[in-house]
Amino acid sequence: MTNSIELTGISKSYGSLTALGKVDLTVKRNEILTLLGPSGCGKTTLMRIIAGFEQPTTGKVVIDGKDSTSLAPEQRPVNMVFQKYALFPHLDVFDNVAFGLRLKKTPKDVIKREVIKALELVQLETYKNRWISELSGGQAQRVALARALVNRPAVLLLDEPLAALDLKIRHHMLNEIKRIHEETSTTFVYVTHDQDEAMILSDRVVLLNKGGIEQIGGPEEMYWSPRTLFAAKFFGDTNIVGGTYGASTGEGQIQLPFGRFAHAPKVALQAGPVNVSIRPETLSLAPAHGHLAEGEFLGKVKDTSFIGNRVIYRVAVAGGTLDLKCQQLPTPGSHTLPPGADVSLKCKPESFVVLPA
Amino acid sequence: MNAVNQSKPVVVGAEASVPIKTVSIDKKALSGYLLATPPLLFLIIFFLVPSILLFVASFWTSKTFTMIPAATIANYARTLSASGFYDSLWISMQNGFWTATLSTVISAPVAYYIVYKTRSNAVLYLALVSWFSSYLVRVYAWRTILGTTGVINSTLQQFGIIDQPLEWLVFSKFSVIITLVHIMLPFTLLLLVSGLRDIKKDYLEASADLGGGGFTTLWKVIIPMAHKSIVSSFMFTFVLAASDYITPQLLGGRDAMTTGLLIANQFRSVGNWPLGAAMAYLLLAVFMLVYATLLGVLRAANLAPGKRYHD
Repeated sequence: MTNSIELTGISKSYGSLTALGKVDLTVKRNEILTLLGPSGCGKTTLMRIIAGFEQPTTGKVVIDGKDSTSLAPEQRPVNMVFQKYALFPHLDVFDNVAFGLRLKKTPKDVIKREVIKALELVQLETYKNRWISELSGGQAQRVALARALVNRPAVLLLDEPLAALDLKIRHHMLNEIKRIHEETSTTFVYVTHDQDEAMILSDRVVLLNKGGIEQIGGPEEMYWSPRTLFAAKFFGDTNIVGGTYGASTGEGQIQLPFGRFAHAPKVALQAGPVNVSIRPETLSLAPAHGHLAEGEFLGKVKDTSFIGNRVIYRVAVAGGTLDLKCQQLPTPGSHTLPPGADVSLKCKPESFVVLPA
Repeated sequence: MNAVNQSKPVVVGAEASVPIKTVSIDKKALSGYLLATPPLLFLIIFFLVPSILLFVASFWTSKTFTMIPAATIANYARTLSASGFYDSLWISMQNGFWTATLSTVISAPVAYYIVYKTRSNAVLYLALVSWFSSYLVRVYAWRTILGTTGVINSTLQQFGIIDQPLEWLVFSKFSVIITLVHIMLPFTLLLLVSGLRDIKKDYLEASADLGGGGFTTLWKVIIPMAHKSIVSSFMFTFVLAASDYITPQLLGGRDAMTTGLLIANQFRSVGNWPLGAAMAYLLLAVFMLVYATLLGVLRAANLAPGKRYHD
């Protein structure tokens, strides 16, 4: 048995409103899987269906090899870290973490050992007598992790656990979650709307949009090989350029407003109008010189932003009808080109992501 | 301090703290005091001062509607040595206990339904509708319903379930408590609803997630977290019902003489204000004792927050 969760044909509607439509998803043992998407995409609903807080309208939920579709949340071998922690304010840190074990009638000495171990895992063993109101946001987050993990769940569900923390702690906690995942070797399902969190953390990313799965893949695959326009736009920055493929322009050729490029499609592609995603970092830029080499075209810098480890240019191309974002790596002594400068751009057609329009 | 710091963000460090301290009044605190003043004044003039006067008067003596300043505990001694006081107290405490218990217990599932199960406030408004009729109207309505020729008795007789009307339905403890519960229910419901609204559904889900079924969640999460509103709902109705003397007079039959009526009589017909004052303060002491007992019971049953379950 290698899968922690198997979802088949899961859908959820509230009256006439469809939150999820026919989702199939498998979560492998010990992986960190993120459910990523904008608000309203169904990621939270999907997680709540796994936890048992929502009943799917159709479909089957198998957890740890067992059909759990009709099981109540308290009967499922999953535990959740809530977005706002939901730590019990009438109990102290130790009793919060011990809550699940006590309900399972665990012997007292085992509870004590396990709770201390869980608090050590999140590096809060000295906080066991604190009341919840005496914790900072980051500490509360750790207690919430300990309270869930102490039950040794088959799957740990994390519902946007870092959303309530400020940026600095968020980065630290991301690394903490990664470390805790390695130390506990538990399956993590992580819900977020932040693609950076998803990329840093995940073994696999599930991109959701409008109640359906848009694409599943590793972070690099999601970034370099998006299969839809939505996926291409969701991860990082990109230029979406309309063009024509094949037919009049010739087999393996793409006609873009600023030139014609040879492109060998990775997937079968119909001749006709296409959208091409061009990552800003795949464009290189130089001051305009006499002649244009193969694959080069002219542009005029509209504005520049120097961000330290990168410079972002907005360049008008194709006679000013189109702006392209272009990202360069500055080096000591290199000069940022001013707005108005004439430049020649070079693209790498092999990095184009060509999508049917 | 805050307001001052915000208005002068440039000032930094220890040396700056000296002028800050001399800078006048904190605006935030000032507006707080100003807002609190009217109700505070009202309470001082119409509650605190009369209460103190009454307390002082409880050590005075009286002669036919005139109070004579003195410093005697005779009024307390006389009350505590009269069996009538204990009889009335027993009736009052029963009225209070049963009304508060029943109102709180009946309101609890309704409040749970309103807060967690429905998004509409229809049920809440429905429960509050009874407030649109006057207290006396409601008391007389119950007299009509429960009377020997009332709705219940005549219906039961018509169906041949009983031969004679059930006498105990009206002019009894039963009729007093059922009426008081009806009157108090909206109070307890409102208090419990506002208490439960503070307990976000997340906490209930967290409990379920950790393995807690409905009953466990109720005892280990909801009641301890709603502890304050449960206690206030119980005490609020307890005090109102135990000191009530209108309903017991109209519906209580032999059980009409509550401590409230005893006290009212001292002020109205007997004219012994110092004695009435002493009785009122004794009743207050009993209420405080009930409050302390209730807290003690909840704590002993692990239903109050602030307890550690580990060493």
